[in-house]
Amino acid sequence: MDQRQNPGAGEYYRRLTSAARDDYGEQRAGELDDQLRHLSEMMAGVAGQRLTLTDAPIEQLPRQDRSGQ
Amino acid sequence: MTPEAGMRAGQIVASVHDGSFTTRDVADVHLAQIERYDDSIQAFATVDEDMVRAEADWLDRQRDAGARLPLHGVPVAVKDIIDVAGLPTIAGFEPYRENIARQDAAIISRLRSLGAFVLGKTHTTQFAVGDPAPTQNPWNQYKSPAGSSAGSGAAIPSGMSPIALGSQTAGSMLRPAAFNGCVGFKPTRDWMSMNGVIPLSWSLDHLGIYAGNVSDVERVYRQLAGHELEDSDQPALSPPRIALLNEFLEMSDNPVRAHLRDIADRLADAGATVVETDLPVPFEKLFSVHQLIFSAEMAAVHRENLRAYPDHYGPRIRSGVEAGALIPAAALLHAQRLRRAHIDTIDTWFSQFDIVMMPTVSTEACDRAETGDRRFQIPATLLGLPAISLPTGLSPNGLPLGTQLIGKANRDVGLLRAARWINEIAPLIGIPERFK
Repeated sequence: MDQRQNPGAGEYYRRLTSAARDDYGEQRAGELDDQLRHLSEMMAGVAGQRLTLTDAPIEQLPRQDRSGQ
Repeated sequence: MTPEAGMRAGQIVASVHDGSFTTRDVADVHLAQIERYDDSIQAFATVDEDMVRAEADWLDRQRDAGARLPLHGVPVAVKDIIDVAGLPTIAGFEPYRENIARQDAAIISRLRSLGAFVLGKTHTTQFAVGDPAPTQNPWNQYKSPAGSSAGSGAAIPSGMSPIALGSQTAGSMLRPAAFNGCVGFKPTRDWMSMNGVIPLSWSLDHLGIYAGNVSDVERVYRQLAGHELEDSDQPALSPPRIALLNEFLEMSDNPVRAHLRDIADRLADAGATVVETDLPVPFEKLFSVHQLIFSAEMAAVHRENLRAYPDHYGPRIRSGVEAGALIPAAALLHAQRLRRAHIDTIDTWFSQFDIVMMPTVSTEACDRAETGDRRFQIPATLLGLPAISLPTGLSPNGLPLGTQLIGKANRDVGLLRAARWINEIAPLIGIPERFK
């Protein structure tokens, strides 16, 4: 993994706030502000952790149910 | 001989087997303890005394007919997101007050087949998120019992049940164990079917077990998980190799840090190899990956229900769902890939140790308006590793402090045996005087 510098949360915050206004309206977007700030920091933290194209492929198949084991 | 509130599950099984007392005696003494203390503690959301006594009587008839079940006569308190046939699964959500479960969750069916019986459903934060439950901390009524498994965590040290079930998606098993002063164990992810459990985040949800001591946790875990039977009171393993995580000590309050260092010194004196080190992946990286997966999956679980009942959702879960619904799919998938990569990196690093040790929570129990700092419980949840919290001390304010031990994936029994060894060096704090 290439661990480059995080790009910062500002751009994610701007995008999330804009999406929240579109989906929930101005007032509700304001009430979500703490959550949006937290989430934008988390998104920046995730985006800053790089993977190559072949690293860590997603498993597509659901796991077997293990009830009774 | 009569049973007493606060008895170990192991004692109950032995006494029911040898006829010293009946399951009905066990049920009555615990119902009396609930009657006496639960008006103030509010651990239980639902207790159906008639159902409890009927189930106890049925177990006594089984015993009279010759059955000696592995958990015969053991009462279990069940977090109220887990279905128990005939009782409502309310999950702290008022519209579900009449939501009567038609069949048992998989874990309840298994417990019943082993001879345990359900004492009642315990309060949870709404849908196991962050809006506090009504439960009091048994050590101090002004302090938080944590969340989300607040009632299950509080039921143990108040002597209302010897065993309780909880769940953890961020820190909801281990943090209540630390704040309430009991043992909380979250096995390896996928150890038990989640059928009949209201989900919060499908890929992060874990079920777990609370008890007053490690032996009882191990007894119940082994039976539920179908491990080969073995006497859980046997001597524990030899001194383990322990990774003591500096990063989390540095993030802890002074009393928490001092307590864990004292425990580490005592373990080293007793022969353990204690190495001060750090995980190969910094906590902030694990935290951001967890939070993105948690938020997106929680939004997927709750979005439709929130549209149907917007006024019944607590403010924290509501805003969490609404914000989580805005996460782009590519960001979620990247977080899932990172999770896989971090699991592999830490699995390789873990080969040089038997267990990881760190505080369960960065602080003692916080005030009741909050449920506490979830950060320290998140690595084991994200990585799917087994983790246990042991109540190994009291803070200068008289509140429990937890020591968290994390084991390797699918080495749950090894973790429990290491916990028993550590218990011999660092005894548990017991229950508050007023509940004895």
